[in-house]
Amino acid sequence: MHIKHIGKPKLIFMFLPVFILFTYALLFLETVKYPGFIGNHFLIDAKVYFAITIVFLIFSDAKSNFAGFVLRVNRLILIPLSLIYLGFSLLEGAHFTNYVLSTFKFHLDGLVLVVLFSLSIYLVDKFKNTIPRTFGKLGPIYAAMIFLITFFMVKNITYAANTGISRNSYILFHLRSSYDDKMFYEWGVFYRFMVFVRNNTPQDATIIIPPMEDPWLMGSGNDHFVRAFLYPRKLIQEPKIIPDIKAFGPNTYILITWGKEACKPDPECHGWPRQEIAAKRIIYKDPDSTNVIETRENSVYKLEDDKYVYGIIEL
Amino acid sequence: MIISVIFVLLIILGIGLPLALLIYPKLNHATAIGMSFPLGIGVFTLLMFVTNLVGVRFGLSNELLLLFLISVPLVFLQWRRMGKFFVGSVDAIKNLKLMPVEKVMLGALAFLIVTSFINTFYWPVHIWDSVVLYDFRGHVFAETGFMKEAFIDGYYYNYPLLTSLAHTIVYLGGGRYPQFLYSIFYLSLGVGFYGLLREFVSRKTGIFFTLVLLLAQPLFYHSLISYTNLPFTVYISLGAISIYLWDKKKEVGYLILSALLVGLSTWTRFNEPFWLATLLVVFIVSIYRKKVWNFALYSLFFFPIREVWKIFQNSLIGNGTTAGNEIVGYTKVLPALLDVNKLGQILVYLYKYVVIPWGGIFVAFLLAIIAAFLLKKQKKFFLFFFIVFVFLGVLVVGTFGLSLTVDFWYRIGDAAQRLSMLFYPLFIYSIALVLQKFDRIKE
Repeated sequence: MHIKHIGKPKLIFMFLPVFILFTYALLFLETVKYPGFIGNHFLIDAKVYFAITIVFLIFSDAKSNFAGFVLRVNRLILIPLSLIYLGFSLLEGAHFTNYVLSTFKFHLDGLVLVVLFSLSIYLVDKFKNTIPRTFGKLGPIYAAMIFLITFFMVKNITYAANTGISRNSYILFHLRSSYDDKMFYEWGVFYRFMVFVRNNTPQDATIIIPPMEDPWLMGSGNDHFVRAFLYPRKLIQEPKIIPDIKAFGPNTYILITWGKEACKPDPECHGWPRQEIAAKRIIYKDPDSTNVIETRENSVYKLEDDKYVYGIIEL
Repeated sequence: MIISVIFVLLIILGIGLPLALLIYPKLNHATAIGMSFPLGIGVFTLLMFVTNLVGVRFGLSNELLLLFLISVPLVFLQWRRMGKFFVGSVDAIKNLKLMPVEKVMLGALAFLIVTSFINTFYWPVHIWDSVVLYDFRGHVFAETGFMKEAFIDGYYYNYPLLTSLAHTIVYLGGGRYPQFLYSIFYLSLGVGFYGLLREFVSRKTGIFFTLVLLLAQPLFYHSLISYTNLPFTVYISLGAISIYLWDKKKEVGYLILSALLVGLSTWTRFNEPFWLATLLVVFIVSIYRKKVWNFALYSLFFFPIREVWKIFQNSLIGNGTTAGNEIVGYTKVLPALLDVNKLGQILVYLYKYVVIPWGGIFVAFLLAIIAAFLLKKQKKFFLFFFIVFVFLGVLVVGTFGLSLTVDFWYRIGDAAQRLSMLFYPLFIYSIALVLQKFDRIKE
């Protein structure tokens, strides 16, 4: 028994294998170009074709010779495709994000769709008898619901599979990473700067931080953010030019920070503090680690954009 | 880290499970297991908060003692039921005969859940809001033993403490990676949703729709990070579904369960007014069924949980509102809804940041309503659709309220998007209810 609203049975059987091949072609094209390429250039997203093919397969209950052949080929390529995807995911995990794209010039998050498409066709073909093709008086509404649920699953499983496999691959190759390595991976040089400040100031210190504006807005000038790393040190926020430095007592430190956000005029807007400061000690941070690269005792701080741009001034 | 994990397991087994069985002894296994963690961690963190307010320092030994004092009577009361529960669970697993299609779906679910756990056990807290607020408070509580130090300014007590105190438990146990708690929330959502759905559908259909739910990108993504949105979704959505079961099964246990879950949702995120939706639904059903005491019972379990934080927050702010004033405040938004221009802006905003991200599942939900009418089942499912529409109404009115009080409301679409993920369980549950005979239809 066939569903009337899908079309005449023969037409479906003719279209199904063609549609499978067509969708494969689109998905491969996106793997080479970029995910979303089809949607951007031909209005309908490749995942829609993916879902339509699956729904076609669910609602067709007999196979033409050609359809049978395409499904057999699909079964044959499923394992090699999966292994290729897993292999490249592991390669990416062992190297760096976008390693596969930069080296082999294709998108892993596109390839995952090809694998999932192959797997979906295999599974739906295998289990389609467990899904009813009609539902009471629902008619086309039932088919539309099945399509929408399928489309929702296709969209989401792509994300889950790609995120899951790529993240797990990364973890597999970085099992020995320390807490600091992981935080550096997430927060980059900012985390190292915070560790440097933590290592070179006592817990009861007062730290003076730049204003909450570009180029320090989302970094060293954000008191809530800085506090998360430097607690229990006390934070005081000052404007671009600190009005009264002499008011601060001992055990007070001023951050030397270049600022990571874009600002204008560049590069003159970068760098803080922007005034000369008589310091008990100036400790500059090594740009590539949390270590101290230079310490100057009893000297006057000046903003030097050709020198080290991160450090602390002890008053 | 091992001590932290054991501590959390003890909370589940010592508080969550016996409490779930105490509230409603006939809960099916999946629902009882699914509710154990949200109930256990919610109640325990609430008690940690209250005991700290009266001077008990946060410390591993103090919290273990607190756990011991709560769990011993609970487990003692539920000893036989828990025994039966475990024996029943073991028997069920032993006699489990899965169909191949079920094995495939369970395999996909296992991939999602295991991936979530692998990632959360590996990565430290790294997402901005959590580093800066939720986890920061957890750290400070564990380090100083008290809450005062963490409340440096209003920013730090704008959100309630459930997740922060859950992090504190992990830190007190010597752990550094508290994000696994969110994987447990994700697992609990799946198991709890399955259990509540299983009351109406076959095992296969239940597993299928649970897979559809856990595949939802926002839910999966939030199981990998430590925002409060996933725990909030777990509490409010399972609480809302429980209201439907209360009316359908005529079992007051589901009502109490709902009151506790919705109460604990306000212990996770306070400003979102979805608790009002559940309160309104329970009120209307209680009146309609001529059992007004049900509403009183709901309030009896819901309000104390909500008010604990409210009173504390008001004491820090120096003033504040009562729940009654809040409700009156929300009703003041209603006349503003007549502002057609504003309403247009709100609807465009919700379409862009909420409806589009929902995607096909929202349209499927709308079709499910039509399907219910075509199948002449609209009366049977009316209450659940009503619950979802009241929630949608709260979303619109809440956004309206936000637009009146926050100047940059249209720039925080991502927050609306995060919040709206609580609708996934509701939409999928609706669809599953309508298609519940899905796998029994023979052509």
